[in-house]
Amino acid sequence: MGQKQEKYDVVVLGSGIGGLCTAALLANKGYKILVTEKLPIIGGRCATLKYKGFKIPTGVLGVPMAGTFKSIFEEVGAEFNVTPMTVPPKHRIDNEIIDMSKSNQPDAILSRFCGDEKEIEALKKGINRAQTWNFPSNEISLKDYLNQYTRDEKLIEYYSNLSDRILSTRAHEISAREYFQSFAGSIKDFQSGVGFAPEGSMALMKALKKVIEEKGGKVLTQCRAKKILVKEGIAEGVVIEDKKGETTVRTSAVVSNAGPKKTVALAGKEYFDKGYLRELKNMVPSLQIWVSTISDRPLFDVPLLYTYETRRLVSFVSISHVCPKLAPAGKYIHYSISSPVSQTAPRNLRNEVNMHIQDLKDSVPDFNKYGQVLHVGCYWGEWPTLANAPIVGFNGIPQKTPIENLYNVGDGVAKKGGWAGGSPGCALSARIVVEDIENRFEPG
Amino acid sequence: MLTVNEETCVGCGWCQTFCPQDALRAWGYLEIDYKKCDECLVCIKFCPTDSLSMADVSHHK
Repeated sequence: MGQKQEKYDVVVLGSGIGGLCTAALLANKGYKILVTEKLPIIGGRCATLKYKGFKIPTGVLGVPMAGTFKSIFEEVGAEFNVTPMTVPPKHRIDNEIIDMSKSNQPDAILSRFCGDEKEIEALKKGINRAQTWNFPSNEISLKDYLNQYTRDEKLIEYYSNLSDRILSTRAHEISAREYFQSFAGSIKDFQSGVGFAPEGSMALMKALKKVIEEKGGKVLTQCRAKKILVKEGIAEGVVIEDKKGETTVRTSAVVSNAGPKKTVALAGKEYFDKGYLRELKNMVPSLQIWVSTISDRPLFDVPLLYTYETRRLVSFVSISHVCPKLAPAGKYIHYSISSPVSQTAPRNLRNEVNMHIQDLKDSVPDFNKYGQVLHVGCYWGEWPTLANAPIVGFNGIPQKTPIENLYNVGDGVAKKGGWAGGSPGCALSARIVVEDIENRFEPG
Repeated sequence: MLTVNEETCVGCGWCQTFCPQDALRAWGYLEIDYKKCDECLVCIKFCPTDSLSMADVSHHK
């Protein structure tokens, strides 16, 4: 066919966190790596968009100051330039903004929600049980689990808000098991503190790219994977296409950060058994709405405001307090985040956006006077917030696929026996795949 | 003429940030201001879901 031929030890499709962490770890161990990215910019949901002089996140905002994600930067020698958030968040409860920095936060917030200490104690017993020695079932929701200990709707609302904020899924829909396992697993990394990249999260992805290139790897943008080549059930290459035309790349392993469904489409459905395809069909991608608001003064006095009992809004990040370079001099940018009440029911996206904006008007004191919406970003469907939301009955898709030497990374795939999302989860998926590749073949 | 595939567009608004003419606005779904759009095709390159394309409407003219 006259196509160009190249050879790499491992080809990584997609330059999100999972893809670049995999590539950087392997390049650092001596593997010859090619990363292909169909878009002109790297980072995926950890990129930073520039608009009218401001910087807008595409997903990843706060990253844990320790744990799996950071450990990869340390291992490969990539710069982890993250400014820790040192001021505690404030909370908006019952139309009042409350500073709980001097109190034991969870207890103080629960007391605000419910005056009955007995109810709180009973609930805490249930939480403690789930957190320490007995994960609840995957077949019940967090709400069902908590209802065994309390019927107080306001207390349930607190946990629903927390679950929405961190896992974009509310208490009536999230799997009780996955909720608690996430907090004991990947989400635990956030307990070490949260930090923000001063000029946007994309700088972290660029730091990984730099390492990959320094170690002899290649990261090609505007380079689209057209086909994963499979022979006798084994992945043996990828056909890629860029401005110069098509190239056949031979490789020992293909790692896809394009999402499990896209991986199947690229390799060909015929190589996957019905059971695997059914599991992919049952994946529930979740929606989150990100609104960027600008102003010529900060709209809130601390970096983080958590809002409760709103229509949709759960958090408002006055990021310029921590990262002034995300806005031009003398200007401020703020990010706010919401999810729908249900991740599985039909919804009207425009209504969802409008409810978010109305919540901003109601909840952020100076929004009406000085705030101006700069940008609205919705992430769902084929470009989701979570590729596989951990709802009741959740079934994790593993990193390995039915095709030998073909792996998935990113938040669409889980750790063994559970969900692992966000930046720590994506990084974890990379670690798991790298370990398998390392055990199976040597570089070169 | 720039066309958006409403089945696949999620309204992420990436295209809005790259449009040199400020002709695009995402608000749950994408609005295109055809008076401003000069068909430079930049948005098509940056669409993560491949939802933007140029439709040939010459036969309507």
